[in-house]
Amino acid sequence: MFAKVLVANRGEIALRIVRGLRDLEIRSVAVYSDVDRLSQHVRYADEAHYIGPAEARQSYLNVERIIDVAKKCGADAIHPGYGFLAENAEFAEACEAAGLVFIGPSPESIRLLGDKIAARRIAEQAGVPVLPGSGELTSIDEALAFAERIGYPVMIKAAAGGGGRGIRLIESPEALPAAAARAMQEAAAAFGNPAIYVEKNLKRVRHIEVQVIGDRYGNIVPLGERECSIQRRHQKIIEECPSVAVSPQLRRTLSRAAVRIARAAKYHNVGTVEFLLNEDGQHYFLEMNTRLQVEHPVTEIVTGTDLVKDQILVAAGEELPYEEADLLTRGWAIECRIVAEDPFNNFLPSVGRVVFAREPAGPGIRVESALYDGVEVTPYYDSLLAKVTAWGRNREGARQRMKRALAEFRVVGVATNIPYLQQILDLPDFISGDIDTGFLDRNQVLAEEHFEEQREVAEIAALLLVTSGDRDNGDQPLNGQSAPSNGYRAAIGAWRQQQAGLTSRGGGMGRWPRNF
Amino acid sequence: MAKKFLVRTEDSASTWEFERDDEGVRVRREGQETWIRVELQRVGDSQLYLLMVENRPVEIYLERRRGGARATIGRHAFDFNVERWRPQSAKLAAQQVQTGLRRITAPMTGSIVEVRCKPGDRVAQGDVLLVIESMKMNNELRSPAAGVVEQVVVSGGQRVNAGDLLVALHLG
Repeated sequence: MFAKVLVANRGEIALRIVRGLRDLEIRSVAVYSDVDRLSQHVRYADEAHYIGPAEARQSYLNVERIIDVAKKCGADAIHPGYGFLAENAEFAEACEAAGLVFIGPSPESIRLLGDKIAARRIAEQAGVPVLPGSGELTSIDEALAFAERIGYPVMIKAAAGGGGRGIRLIESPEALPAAAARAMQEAAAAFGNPAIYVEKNLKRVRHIEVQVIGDRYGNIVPLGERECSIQRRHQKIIEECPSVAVSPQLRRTLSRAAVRIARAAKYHNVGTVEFLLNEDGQHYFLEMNTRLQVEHPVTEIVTGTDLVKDQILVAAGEELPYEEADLLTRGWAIECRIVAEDPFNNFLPSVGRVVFAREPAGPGIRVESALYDGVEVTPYYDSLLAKVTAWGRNREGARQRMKRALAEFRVVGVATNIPYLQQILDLPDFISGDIDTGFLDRNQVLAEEHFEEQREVAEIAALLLVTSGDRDNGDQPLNGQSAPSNGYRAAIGAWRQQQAGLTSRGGGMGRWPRNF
Repeated sequence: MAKKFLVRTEDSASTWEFERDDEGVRVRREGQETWIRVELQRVGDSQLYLLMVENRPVEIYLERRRGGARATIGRHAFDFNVERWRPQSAKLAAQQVQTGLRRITAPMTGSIVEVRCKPGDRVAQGDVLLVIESMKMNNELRSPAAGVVEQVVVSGGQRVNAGDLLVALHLG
């Protein structure tokens, strides 16, 4: 087992991993850039090292620096989290070369599955349906000819890379040449490979993905599906486990397909096989993500597993502690991603200082967050602030708890998408589970409610604050009169005197009297 | 005896009556019938306050500012100027609201990609004034009101910090 692990990430996921390491009694090493000096993942870790300026390229993507820190501090392994270096085969190789364990699949698996065309081939060989699609294309004429053959609409994607980047929907042949040229340029810039491919676009499909975990001995266990159809511009914002569209029989089919693909790629550690599911229940392989997903908590909650802990164990060479038959699922989980974007202003990224933050809690609520009072939301990294996951005995129970949690969440200082999430949770089609990847295009942000009311309340508060003079000491209402205290302050004072020596005014330990 | 106060922002001004009685404090927006029973209390040593509005609890974040306060509630921050009501100041405020200059500031740190307005342009509410790149995304900055562009203080390619003045707009 590892004694010390470096977490090569930031934000909520770095904190999540630090917590997993503490559960395993492994020492954690955080790394941070200039703007993350006070971050929670730094404060919660056993050890923390500075790795460079705010720009990710010079810090969280700086392979040399991170490996150097890991070696100097005596870490046994590196956990990459998601994003940054998580799906970078060169990084995984560099870790191995430095004698460090990369907590994730092998560099070969990452490379193989990161190449979308190779991944499609693996799926086909494993007998899993794929969407009609081309091979690697490097000219617009080829793309036009292929699109003609499979029929519009089509999707154009970069052959390398993922995460929804560079994806374009093309409705007609006239729109293809310009879009293909831009996609090639972007792919060349982002991934160093201009190749694109063309894929049939299906109407009204769900995005369903299957979580798998494998050890180094060929055991691969599927952990059920996640429904991730609620997406805005190919970015997921609400995820669920399980899916209303997946019957036990379909779950078996998808699980078997996911395991066959993982096995063909000689996969170990956690991974996610993504499918599209059409209205007839037909499924098509989309891609396999070779990392821990943002939305892993919904699976953890419903299956009772701890994916971060388990992936560390299998990376350390342990056998998977469970088989598929051992897993019991319970209830329903929904996750909402809280991002610093203003839904009432065209999802403008909101940066600035969060002067006050308070996360929701209570029955069935789990929060993964990097928020704290005074945190600066900077333009350097992605806009994810927190994830809220609600568990319920059924989908409606989880939905109700999520509504409660979002209403409790306070983020002051930057705009968030919370009001939009609240609107989505109340839409009749969402409530009935009738969703697909076009859901948010059909359900744009509704007008903002309560603005006048909030403004009026703010005016009153400002008026009372200013007219209160200097009496703002927290003990009295700011209207110049003492609080109707029912004498409780005097009672506490008398009790303290009576307990003289046994209690102190705070900080010290005291004994509560039985009949207080 | 009720006191009168003027609560102003750059684009609004309202008059509130404020009265203390045996039960505490009540306020009323000028011209309205009913009084609202209110009580403001600070939560611990933070800047979070609990405002009771007729027994309805509302959390609000307040910061003292010169001559007033910044109140943040939900996703909105208001910079209020609070002063004793005087006939002249009320009149002046009303004029300012109608014709005043509006400062358009950068909502985020980033760089200016494109400036789509120039001094003298007449713009409608919602017109794109400029485009700012932040978090690798281009964001259109729209005019909050109709008016005439008085001054543009940035140019394409320039880096700006959140809160920097970008455009001065003459309302009306």
